[in-house]
Amino acid sequence: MSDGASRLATPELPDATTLKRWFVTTNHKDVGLLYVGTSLFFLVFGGVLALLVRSQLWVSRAPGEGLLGPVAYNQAVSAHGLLMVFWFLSPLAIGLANYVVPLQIGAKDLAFPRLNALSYWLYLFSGLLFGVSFFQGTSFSGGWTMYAPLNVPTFMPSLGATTTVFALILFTASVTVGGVNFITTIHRMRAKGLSLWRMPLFTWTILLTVWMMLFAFAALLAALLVLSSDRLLGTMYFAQSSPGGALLWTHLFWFFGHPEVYIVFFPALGVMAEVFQTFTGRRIVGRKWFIAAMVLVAVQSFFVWMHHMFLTSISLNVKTLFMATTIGISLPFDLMVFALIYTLKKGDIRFSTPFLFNFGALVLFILGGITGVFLGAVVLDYEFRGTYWVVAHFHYVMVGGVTALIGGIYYWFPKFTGRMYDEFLGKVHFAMYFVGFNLLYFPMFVAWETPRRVFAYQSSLEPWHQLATVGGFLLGSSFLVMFYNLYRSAWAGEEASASPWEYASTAEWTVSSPPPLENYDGYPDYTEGELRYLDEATVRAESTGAGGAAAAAADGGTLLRREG
Amino acid sequence: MTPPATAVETGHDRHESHASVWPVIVAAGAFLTLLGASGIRQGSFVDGTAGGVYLGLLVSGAVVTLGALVAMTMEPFGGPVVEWAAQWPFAEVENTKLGMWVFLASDVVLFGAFIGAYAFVRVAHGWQAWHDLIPAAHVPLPGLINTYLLLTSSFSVVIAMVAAREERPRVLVGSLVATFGLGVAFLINKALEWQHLFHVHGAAFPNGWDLSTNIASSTFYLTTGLHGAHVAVGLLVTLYMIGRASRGAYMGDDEPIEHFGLYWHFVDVVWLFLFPLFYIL
Ligand SMILES: [Cu+2]
Repeated sequence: MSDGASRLATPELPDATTLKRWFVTTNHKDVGLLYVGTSLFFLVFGGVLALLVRSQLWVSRAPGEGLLGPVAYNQAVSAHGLLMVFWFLSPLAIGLANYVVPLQIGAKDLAFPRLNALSYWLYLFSGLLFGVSFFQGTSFSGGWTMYAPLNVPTFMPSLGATTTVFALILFTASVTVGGVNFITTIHRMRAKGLSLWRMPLFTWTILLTVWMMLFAFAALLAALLVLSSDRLLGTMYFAQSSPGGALLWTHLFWFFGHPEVYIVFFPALGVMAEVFQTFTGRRIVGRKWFIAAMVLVAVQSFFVWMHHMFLTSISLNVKTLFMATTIGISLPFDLMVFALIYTLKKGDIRFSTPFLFNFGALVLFILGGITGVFLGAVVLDYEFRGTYWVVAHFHYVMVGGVTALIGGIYYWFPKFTGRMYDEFLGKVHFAMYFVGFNLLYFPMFVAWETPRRVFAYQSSLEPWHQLATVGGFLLGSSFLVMFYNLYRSAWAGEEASASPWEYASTAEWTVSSPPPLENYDGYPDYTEGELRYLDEATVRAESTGAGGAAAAAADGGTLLRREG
Repeated sequence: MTPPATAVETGHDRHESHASVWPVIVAAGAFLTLLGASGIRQGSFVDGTAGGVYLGLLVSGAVVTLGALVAMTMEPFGGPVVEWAAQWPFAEVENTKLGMWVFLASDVVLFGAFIGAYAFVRVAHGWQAWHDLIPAAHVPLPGLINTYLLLTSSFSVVIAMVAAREERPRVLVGSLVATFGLGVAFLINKALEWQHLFHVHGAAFPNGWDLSTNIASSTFYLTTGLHGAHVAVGLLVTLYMIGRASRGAYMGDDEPIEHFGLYWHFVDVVWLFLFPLFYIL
C-alpha cells in the first residue's frame, strides 16, 4: 500500500458514546442498530401520513373538504404505502438481521463490512431523497403501485414525482449491495459444522429473503430505470400511445411485487419461529419440512404475479393458470402455520411480550391469509378488486408481519443493550397494539364496498370508518408506550445476562449482552453437534478434539436447559 | 462497483478494521447526484436558476461519489478472515468472487427485464410491423463492428489476468490499455451511430430518429444505452486498474483482475444478445 493510500485510512473505531462512531462504523451490530432506529423513524413518518388519511376518512367528503386537499390526499396515500413497504418494513428486518445473523452463524462480521455500512447509508439517503420530494412541487401521487400511464410527466409533471422514483432507485442500490453481502456471508462464513439444515430458522428466512430481494429488486430497478427515462429523457415506454405500455408496467411491477410480499413477511416468519421455540421450550415441529416449505415458497413466489392483474386484458387461460399457482403457493404456508401451532400445543408457553406479539402475528396472518384466498380466485377478484377488502387483506398480512418484527425488537432488546425492557409496559403496548390493529383493519372487511384510493364513499359506511380511525389512533399511540419503554430501559433497565430467556437455543445467546466488538473469543464450531468454541491452536492443528467449554445446543440439536 | 479491498495480511493476528468514513460520503454523493438529475425534463434541465442549481448538484454529487468510491477502494481495510467455516456449496469460491457472481446474477435479471420489456412492446405493436418504425439508416454494420471490439476486449482482459499471475508488469499494463482502448472505441462507434440516427432525414422520419420518435427508438436507445453505461463503468474501473498496475500492483495477485474480468465478460455476453435483437431480427 502506498503512502497515499494509508492517508485514506480511517482511524480506529471511536467510542460508542461519541457521535462520530455512528458515522464511520462498519461493525454489523452498530449498522444493525442504525437500521432499526432509522426504520422506526420511517414508521413514524409513514404512520403520521396514515393518521392524516384516516382523519380525512372520518366522514365521506367531497374534494376540498377536510384536512387534505385532493392532491395532498393522493400524496399522503402514495407516500404512506411507499414509506411503509420500502423504508420501514424491510429495513427493520434487515436491521435485526444485521445484528443477529452473524451472531447466529458464528461469524465475526458480514463478509464486506464497508459495503454493509454503504447499504445502510444508501438506505438513509434514499429516505431523505423521498423527504425532499415533498418540497419540489408535489411528491409522487399515483399510489404505491405507480401504475402507468399515470406515472409519466403528461399526468404527473412535478419534479418531486421524479425524485420519488429516484429515491426508490437509490433504495434498490442499497438492497442490492446488502443482498450481495448477506448471501456471501451466509453461504461462506458459517461456523464449521453448521450445515444449512442446522442453520437457525431466522437466518434461514433472511437467506431466502435476500435471494428473493436480489432478483425481485432487479426487476423493480428495470421498471424504475425505464420510468426515469420516460420522465427525464422522453422515451415512450409508458406513454398513452405506447402499445401495451400500461400492461408492461404491471408485469414489471408485480413480478417484483409479489415476491416483495414474502420479502417483507419471511423475516417476520423467522422471528416467529425463533420466539415460539424459545418461549415454548420446544424445537419447532417438522423443522425440515418447515425449511423445505419456505424454499418452495421462495421459488414459487416468482410465478404468481399475474394474480394482481386479473382485471387487465390478459387472457382468461393465463388468469386461470395463475389462480392455480396462487392456490399452490398457499399450501406450503398452511404447512408452516400448522407447524407453528403444533409447536405451541406441544410446548410449555411463557407469555412474555415477545411471545405475545408473535402469537398475535400468527393470528393476524391466518386472518390475512384466508381473506387473501378471495382475491386469488379470478371471479371473486372481479368483485373485490379496487375495494377496501384488498386494503384490509394486505394490511392484515403486512402489518401482521410487523407485529412479529416488533416482537423481535423486544426479544433481542436485552442482547442489543444488555438491559431488560419493562415487561408490564411491554404487555400494555401489546394490548393497545392488538386491540388498535383489529379496530383499525377489521371494519375495513365489513365496509369492503368502500372504493380504494379515493376519500369519497357511501355515507352508510361512516360508522365503520370512524371505528377504523379510532383504531388507527390507538395503534399509533401504542408505539409511544414502546418508545418510552425502550428508551428508558436502554439506560435504566435491569441488567440482562448473556441469555435472559430460559430456553433460548441459538448462538447469539451464548455471548455477553451486548456482545464484544468481534463477537467471539474463540472459533465457534458445530462439528460435534453442539456449539463449542475452539482456541486458535486447535483450529491451527485442524483437529476437532479438545475445545472451549462454552456449550449450547445447535438450533437443530436438543435444547439445553440453562440457569439465569 | 468496487474492486475488492486489499487485505493487509500480517500473520495470524491480523488486525480487523471496523471503521470507514467513505460509505457515508459515497451515499451522500449519490443523494446529491440524483437530486440534481431530478431537475431534468425532456432531456434538459428546467429553466431559470433552479436549472442551474440542479446542474450544480448533479455535477458536485458525481464528483463526490466518484472520489469517495476511489478513496474507499484505496483505503487499507481488513475485513473478516474466513478460517474455520462451513461453506457448502461455495467452498471453492472466495468471498469477493462469490459477491461478484451474485451481483451479476441480479444484473442478469435487470437486462432480462429490459429485453422482456422490448419483446413485450414489440409483440404488442406487431413483431413485423415494428420494422416500419425504424429508418433504413439503421443498419447492422456499426453493431457488428462493436461486437468484434467487445469480443477482442474480453480477450485482452484474459491476457491481463495471465500477465498478473505470471508477474509481467508491461504485458499487464499493455493489455489493460488495450482493453480500455477497445472499450472507448466501442463507445465512440456507438456515439457516431447515434448521432447519425438522431439526424436522419426522409419522408418517414422528417425530424430524425431520437428517443421520443416512437416506441422502437425508445427501446433501442434505452436498452443499448443501459449496456453502454455498463461499458462506461467498466472503463472507469479499467482506468483505475491501469493507474495501479503502472505502479506495480497486481503482481502475483490476479484476483482483482479476474473479478473485473467476470464483469467485463458479462457485459460482452449481454451485447451478444442485444446485437441480434436490435440490429437483425
Ligand atoms: Cu401477490
